[in-house]
Amino acid sequence: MRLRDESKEAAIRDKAIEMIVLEGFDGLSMQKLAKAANVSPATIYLYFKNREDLLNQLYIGIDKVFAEETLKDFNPEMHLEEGLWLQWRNRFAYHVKYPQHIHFMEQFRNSPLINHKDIKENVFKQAMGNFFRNAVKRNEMKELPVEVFWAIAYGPLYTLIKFHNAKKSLTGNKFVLTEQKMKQAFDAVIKALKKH
Amino acid sequence: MEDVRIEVLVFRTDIIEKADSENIGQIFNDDSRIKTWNIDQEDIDKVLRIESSEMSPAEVINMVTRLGYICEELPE
Repeated sequence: MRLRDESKEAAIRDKAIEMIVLEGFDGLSMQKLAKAANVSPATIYLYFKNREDLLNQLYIGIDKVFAEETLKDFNPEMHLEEGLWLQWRNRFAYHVKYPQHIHFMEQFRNSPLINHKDIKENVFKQAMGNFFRNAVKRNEMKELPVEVFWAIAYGPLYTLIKFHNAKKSLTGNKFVLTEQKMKQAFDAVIKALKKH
Repeated sequence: MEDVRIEVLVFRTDIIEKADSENIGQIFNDDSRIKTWNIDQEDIDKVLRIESSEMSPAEVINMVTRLGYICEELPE
């Protein structure tokens, strides 16, 4: 009897993410994955129906980790400054901890192969939506369209993370994102967003 | 929780065309022992995957080969 083995499934998932990050979605087939993960194709089919199912399951798994990590200690009722700073710290920590996840997500979002309607609205988006609306309701924030809010609130952070991952900035200088530098950028951002 | 005894059976086939897959699907859909099935036609082995709690691989092979297709168990 064929039995599911969670550690085997996890090993297959990790290997698949690694292959997608290196070669893109086109580089992944069940056969190639089996070879790379050192299991038989039959073993992969125990856990996944086909390539599309595998990709969707990978997305759902990664999305769950992302929500857990970024919502750690977070509450949508938090005040704008406190909540946003926690988001910055959590998101940076997530990027450092799971660099491959980020690459996977970028590929996934841009892929026409994926059946996006299988993917449900998640807890993360809900929490972030509530956080934004609470800040508006409490009159803590200038009135901005949500896209403009997002660009100001997180754009600088993601730019700094990009430099951090590249280990250098646009000028070619060495760059490491320290908490101090993150705080400098954050102080400018919060000043731009706050009403008073 | 679902029935934990549901087993996954995996086969290599030569079911290439959509019409062939529909042909076989009619039999599978009528069989109450089969919980779900699919054929991965993107894969070189045209893998037939069946979730069932009561069927043996031999029974599946019998059903498929009777319709004139190749079907053999994919070894683990």
